[in-house]
Amino acid sequence: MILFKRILSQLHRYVVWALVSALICGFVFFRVTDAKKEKKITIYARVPSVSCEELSLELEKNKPEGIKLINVHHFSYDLFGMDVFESGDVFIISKSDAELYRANLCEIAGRGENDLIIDGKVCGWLFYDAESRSCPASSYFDFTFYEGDGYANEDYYICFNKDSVHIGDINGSADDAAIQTAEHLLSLK
Amino acid sequence: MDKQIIELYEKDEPCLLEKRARIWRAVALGVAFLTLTVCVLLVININRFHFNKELAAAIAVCTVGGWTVISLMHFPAGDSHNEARHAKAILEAERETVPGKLTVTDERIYIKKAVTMRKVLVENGEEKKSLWINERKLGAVKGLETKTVYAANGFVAAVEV
Repeated sequence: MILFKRILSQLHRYVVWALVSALICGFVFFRVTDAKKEKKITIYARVPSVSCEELSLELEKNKPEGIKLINVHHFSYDLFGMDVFESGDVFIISKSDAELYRANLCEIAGRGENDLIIDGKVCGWLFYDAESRSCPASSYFDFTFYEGDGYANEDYYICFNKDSVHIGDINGSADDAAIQTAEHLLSLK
Repeated sequence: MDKQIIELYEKDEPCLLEKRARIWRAVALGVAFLTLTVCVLLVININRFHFNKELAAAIAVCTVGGWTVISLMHFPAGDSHNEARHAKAILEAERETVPGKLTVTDERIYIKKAVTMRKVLVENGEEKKSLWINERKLGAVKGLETKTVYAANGFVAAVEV
């Protein structure tokens, strides 16, 4: 009983230490695993399925100069949150999503006749062709559509965030690492 | 008749207790170092794709390690240090002679929440005086017919049989 009381008398120290420990570990882990916006490329893919970890590792094999991390995030809910447009550089989205969020996308140089054109401007490069059901990097993406999963069998495009700091002359960014990464992605099998 | 005086506190007792406290502090330091090493290894081997699991493991290791250090520093190390201070105070204090037979009661108090004291009554005919005795030292006086009790600061320091 006395031992229990003595332990209780130190309870405040145990609680404080638990909080301090969580804060310190969280801070250290975030600092080690993350990088500043200028040093990383963030790709958001609103597609049925994508192997985020494997694709990140593959893209990092040929990282653009000055880039430490390439993160791939899968989007599985309907609404684009504001943080996506603050943190994302590259989007892999359907044609209908691109038209819905056109205000957040930038005009880019065209690659071919299959480019996404919105309001007379090239806004995306074809990634998944709905007619032939094919896409590059097919070992990392699965475009199988199920009823009610929120995805439609339509064309998907690679688009760029107009506020990205990695799109070169388009918005005066210091580098065009996002463009390079997207081109690398399109070259994958 | 030869009188025999039983000293409850030895002269080197404070030193020995402080040494024990230092040993426990060294153990606590060892645990702290081990915890830090494990955490550093976890950070070095971070796989950002298993971030949540690895962060939870690091927090668990850090928290449990810290709790162990706090417990070691407060309980065995702190207790030994407090006992050393108590013994030193008894040895340095002036003694009071209380003639009579010593009887141990069941009443207890805790000094600095660590040192357990039992209340004793020293009876000499009509006079009764209450003192406290370190419960660890009870074995030395159990079953003895005391003639005189030597007290320091209200605590039994020695007995004469």
